[in-house]
Amino acid sequence: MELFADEVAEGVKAGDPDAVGAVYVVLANRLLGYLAARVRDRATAEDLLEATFVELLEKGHTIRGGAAAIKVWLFRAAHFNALDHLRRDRRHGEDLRDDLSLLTVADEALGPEDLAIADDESRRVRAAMQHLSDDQRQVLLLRYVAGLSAPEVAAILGKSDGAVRSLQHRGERALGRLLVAETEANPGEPASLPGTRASTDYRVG
Amino acid sequence: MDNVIPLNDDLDPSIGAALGRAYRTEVDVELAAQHLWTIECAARRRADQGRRQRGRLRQTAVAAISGVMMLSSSGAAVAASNQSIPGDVLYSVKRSAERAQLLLSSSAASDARLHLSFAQRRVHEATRLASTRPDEAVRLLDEAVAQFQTAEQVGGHEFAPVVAAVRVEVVERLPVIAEASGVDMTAAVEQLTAQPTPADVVAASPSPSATASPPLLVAAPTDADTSTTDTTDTASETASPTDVTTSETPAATATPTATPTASPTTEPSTAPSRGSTTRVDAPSAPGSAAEFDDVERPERRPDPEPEPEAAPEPAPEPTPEPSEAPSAPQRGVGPAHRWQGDGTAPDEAPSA
Repeated sequence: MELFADEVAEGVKAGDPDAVGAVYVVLANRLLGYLAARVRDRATAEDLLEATFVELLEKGHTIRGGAAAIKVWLFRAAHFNALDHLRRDRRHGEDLRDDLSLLTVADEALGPEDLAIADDESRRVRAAMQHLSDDQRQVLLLRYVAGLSAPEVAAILGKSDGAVRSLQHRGERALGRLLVAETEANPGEPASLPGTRASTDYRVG
Repeated sequence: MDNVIPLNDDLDPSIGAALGRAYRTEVDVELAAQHLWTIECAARRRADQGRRQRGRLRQTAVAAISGVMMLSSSGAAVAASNQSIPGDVLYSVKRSAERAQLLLSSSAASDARLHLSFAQRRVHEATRLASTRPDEAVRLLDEAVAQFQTAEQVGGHEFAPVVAAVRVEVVERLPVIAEASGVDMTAAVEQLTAQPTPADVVAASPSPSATASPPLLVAAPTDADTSTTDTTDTASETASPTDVTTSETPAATATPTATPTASPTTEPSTAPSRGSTTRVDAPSAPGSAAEFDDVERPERRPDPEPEPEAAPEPAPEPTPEPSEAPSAPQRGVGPAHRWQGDGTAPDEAPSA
């Protein structure tokens, strides 16, 4: 499945702002989600999103390949922009801040109660994610939120495919464990992950 | 994970759902418009830089200088700056005006005249600075030498006598500068005297612009490029030779150029001898607002920069903004459209 046409890819490599805009339309949501997950602050994520696309305009001529290569390039740029920001912004109340609660988009199908529950769930998931190691969290975000394949993630992080898969599985298990523990600590709450199987599935490894 | 059915690439769907929900975001229309506008402006800036590098300096530089002129009240400031020396507030205006003149110059002859007049100016400035800032004076003399050389190159054979005449003038001033500054001017003297000697000048057939008398006559135009100037110039042209000989003084005191200011319109400033400096400049000199107007009207040129400067500010409403921006926003931006955002194209496929 091609994200966008070859002509758009060529336009991006030629520095055409319209082509970059076309890519923006397709990928902005995913990139913003990824950036927000990394920097945990919506305003910063928006700024980084803008900066990343301006970078694409300016450096797109260095990209070899088509739409897929551009997508990887964008997420790599976003990854490093987020990293730079986090390094500068070290220990800025990371654990306390969860501005991302504004981030979640309401699922229209849910009623107000369910919405509140969903918000709550999301907050817990995000909190649990913070307990993962940096590498694990980055891999999970790139695979799940950014939607990149394992080889693409490997390319961005500069790791081998095997290392990425390993980090991914460990991260998934750790996340599962944390959320189960959360659920068990709060017995009155509904199932930890909406739409999932029984939580026992996560007692793996 | 045994019971997990992988979607693709061994992704756990439940984790996918959890993380998707936890981090799902959408770029709202306003934000998208703002970002797309930033991208557009970045592209324009890059295009402008490219043009500059490809040598289209004239357009942007003239525009920039015009902007300076506008800010500095144009002709009045330029006129007032004529007597300024390095260190004065208006000195930058003076130099900017010189650059503007060069840009607006339309012939090699006027270029040569300009360079010659600038050389003279540098010498005047050096004279005034000699005692207080000798280093600066030397630097100015270096510039003067460069201007002389440029004038010769640009002016060609016909102009050589004129340049030579001015050169003699300048050489005569050097001892004054040397004494005042305590700096050895030997090198400058050598450089300036390494060219056609006065003997050649005298021998050269006098054209109206190059009288045998050493004092400068750059003011007299031979070319048609200054045809826009009024008749007062031609009047002064014939007047100058005689006036020059009478008012010429030894280099020690008066300025080498003693051409009187024939046209009152061109003399906004002070003492006649000083004022003659401006008159010495090519008729297209920015000696006054009036003359500047004659050549062109750069100060009338609108500032071309407003749009890109205003670009970074996001528009308050998303709707008008996309219509100004390039077609990209129209692909999906607009109140009626929602992004898909999950990698699929929006309802209307990008037309790129």
